[in-house]
Amino acid sequence: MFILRRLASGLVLMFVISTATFFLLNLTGQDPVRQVLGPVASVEQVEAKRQQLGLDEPLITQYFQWLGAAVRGDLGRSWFTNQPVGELLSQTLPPTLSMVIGSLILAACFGTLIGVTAALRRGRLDRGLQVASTLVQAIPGFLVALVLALVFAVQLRMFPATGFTAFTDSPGKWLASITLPVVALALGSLASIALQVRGSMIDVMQQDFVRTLRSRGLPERSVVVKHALRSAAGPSLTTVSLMFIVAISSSVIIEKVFNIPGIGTQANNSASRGDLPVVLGIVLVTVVLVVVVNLLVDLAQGWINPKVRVS
Amino acid sequence: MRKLVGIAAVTAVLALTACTGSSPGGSAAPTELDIAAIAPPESFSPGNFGTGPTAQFLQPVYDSLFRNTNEGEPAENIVTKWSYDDARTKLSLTIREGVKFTDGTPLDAAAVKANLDSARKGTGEAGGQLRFIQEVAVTDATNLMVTLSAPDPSLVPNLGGTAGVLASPKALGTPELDTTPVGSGPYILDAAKSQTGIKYTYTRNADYWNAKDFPFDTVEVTVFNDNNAILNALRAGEADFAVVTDKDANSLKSAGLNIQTSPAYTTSGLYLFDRKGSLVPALAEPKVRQAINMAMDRDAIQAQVYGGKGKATSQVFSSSSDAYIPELDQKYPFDVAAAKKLLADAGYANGFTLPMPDVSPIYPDQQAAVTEALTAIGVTPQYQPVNGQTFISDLLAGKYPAAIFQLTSPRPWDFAQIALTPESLWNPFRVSDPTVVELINKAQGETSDAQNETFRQLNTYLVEQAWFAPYIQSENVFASSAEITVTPQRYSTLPPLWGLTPSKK
Repeated sequence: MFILRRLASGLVLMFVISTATFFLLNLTGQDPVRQVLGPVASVEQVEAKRQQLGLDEPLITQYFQWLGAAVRGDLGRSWFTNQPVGELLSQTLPPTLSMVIGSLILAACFGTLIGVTAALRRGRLDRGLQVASTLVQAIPGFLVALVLALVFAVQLRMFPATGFTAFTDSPGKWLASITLPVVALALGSLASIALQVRGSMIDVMQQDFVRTLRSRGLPERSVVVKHALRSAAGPSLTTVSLMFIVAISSSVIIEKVFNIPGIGTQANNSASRGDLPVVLGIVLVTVVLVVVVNLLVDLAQGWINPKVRVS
Repeated sequence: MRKLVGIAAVTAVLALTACTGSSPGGSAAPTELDIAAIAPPESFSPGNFGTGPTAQFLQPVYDSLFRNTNEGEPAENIVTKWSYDDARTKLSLTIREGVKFTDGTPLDAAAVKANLDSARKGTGEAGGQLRFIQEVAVTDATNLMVTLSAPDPSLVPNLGGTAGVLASPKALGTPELDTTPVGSGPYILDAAKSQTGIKYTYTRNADYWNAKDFPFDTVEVTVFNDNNAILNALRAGEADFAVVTDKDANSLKSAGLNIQTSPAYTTSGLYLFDRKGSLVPALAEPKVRQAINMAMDRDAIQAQVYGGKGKATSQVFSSSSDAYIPELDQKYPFDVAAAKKLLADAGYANGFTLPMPDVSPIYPDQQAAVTEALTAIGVTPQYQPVNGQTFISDLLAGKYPAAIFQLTSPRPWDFAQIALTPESLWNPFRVSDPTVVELINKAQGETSDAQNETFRQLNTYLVEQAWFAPYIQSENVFASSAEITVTPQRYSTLPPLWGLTPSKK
């Protein structure tokens, strides 16, 4: 029931956002056909193309045509390259998802590790972590990306400086192609997650149930990993879901630095030249991603902490 | 769960070290050519693409009817013999025998006709170059007759460019052809290793008739969205060729890359569209337009706006074309006092206001320089905010009497077609000057030296009448790896594929 309600609200969200995008992009008063054909195309050529793209129809007709096709799973074709939007999304999603998911895994693992260590050891290590986290959060991701590219790709040639290799082509090259982007993207979230985990762990470790567990003679390791961490994980998971959305938007600039053909680059290019079908397709996919991630995080919350399930 | 992640991380690191162990080395001739491009091709359907940088994506897969030489003169390729009749409206073509498209269809006269008929209906710039073709008739399997509605001096060289590419007749008109080319060229697009709009990988066409001109086994053209990424790719050896900006040239040179410049065939300047004086009566007065030309300190603009690069000039025809006359650049030396006197003679001693589009978001330095020049002689530019998306349509609709602008057009005839005739697209106020019309019509029926002479007369007239106030003709800066040698082609903004060859050791 809960899942169904979530999915239904996701559908409504998709409808509202895509409708808004459609009309907003049309409100800018741009002439996409002139953009497609360039400055020396004749007036006749422009009109022919306009007809070919169906842009001579009234706006509302264009909208329902798009919507009708979209409901049937046909997102249309790019006005610029005539590539089917569905195909384009299936090409641009893997690079972005590789980067975003990779960076979240990296950030979550190391963030938790560092956060827990700092919470348990306290002292100098803890203070050092706090300073370092603040510093890392203050450095913009693209700067990290630029430095990483210059040092590890251009100078040391350990990783490719640009481009993306699909996992299916070569898992090794895939990993090499996303390593630097993932590190650049992960640093900021890693610091936030570490701070978040540290805070919750300190709170939890001071609670009565931890003292009770210890007094029963449970090994410290089990107290920390099985019990304390589990109850501290809730807030951190919420942080991770927020990080996912942040990572998708920061990936735009990281993709640019490493020339990774992801969804951010595509969104940027298509929006700036007014390629409406592509922009709408990307908007839809992004909404789906966000809805799915939130749903997964909610489910995980329930799994980790049964108390949440009821609400 | 966490243990699992740990294991995954360790395997990941292992895999990484495994795959980055090998590094390129050795001195064998390179077998792969990596080109960095800045925009994806509009389409692979004949007629639907542009005439400029799109060629980088088309040349690997398509044969053109002609192959232009380094000097920009048409030479044989698929066409082996050609001739015009005396009126220059009938062009007979003889086609090379035995060439096949990669889908097995023979490249015969019928296939050429199908392509020309399809391409001239196309919506791209290339399609527009075929507008004088009235009819294409097949004589026999290897001979055709192309009938023109009027002589077109640029037709044959254009058929050696993107307007003359040949796709399999079976694929013509299908939507798939926009993204998946089927040609007869030296390479085949490897769909599995390509992504539309992003990366195009071409592998050898084993049956190609002229393989010796194409030494690389693989050609990869990657679209870049960021200048910095292009620089990194060049420095890391991932790209062999790219167009870069002036300011990056020195650092690339010190990183071991070759740098060379070549004309970009783009003229930047203050385009004085309203020569009839419809919106600003002062612009109808030649003395006013001459005064504006004299107010421009072109050497200073070249030094400050263009970093000393390019060619400071008051001519719109490319300095690499036969229409260019070096002495004409002395016609309007920078002289504010003389310019003011010209304005006063024309009855505008107190100047006038000149509404112009505000291009400061894209060309801040150019706009500053033009403002300085105009205000110095008492002309007040009145900049109006523009919408980037409708800018071109607004200019074409004659909304602005003048604009800081640039047009790219390599050959004099093509520039005349684009900007000088009363019907030209970039003559938005439809200015009709009998001398200009007469000279263009004269050039249309002429060839070689006679035609060049007519274009020089036209150029002289345009400069004397101050139709434009150009200041610079820009250059492209090519960066290439030491492993390849770049040979540019006249009238082409980028070197052709066969102009990129392995360097001789």
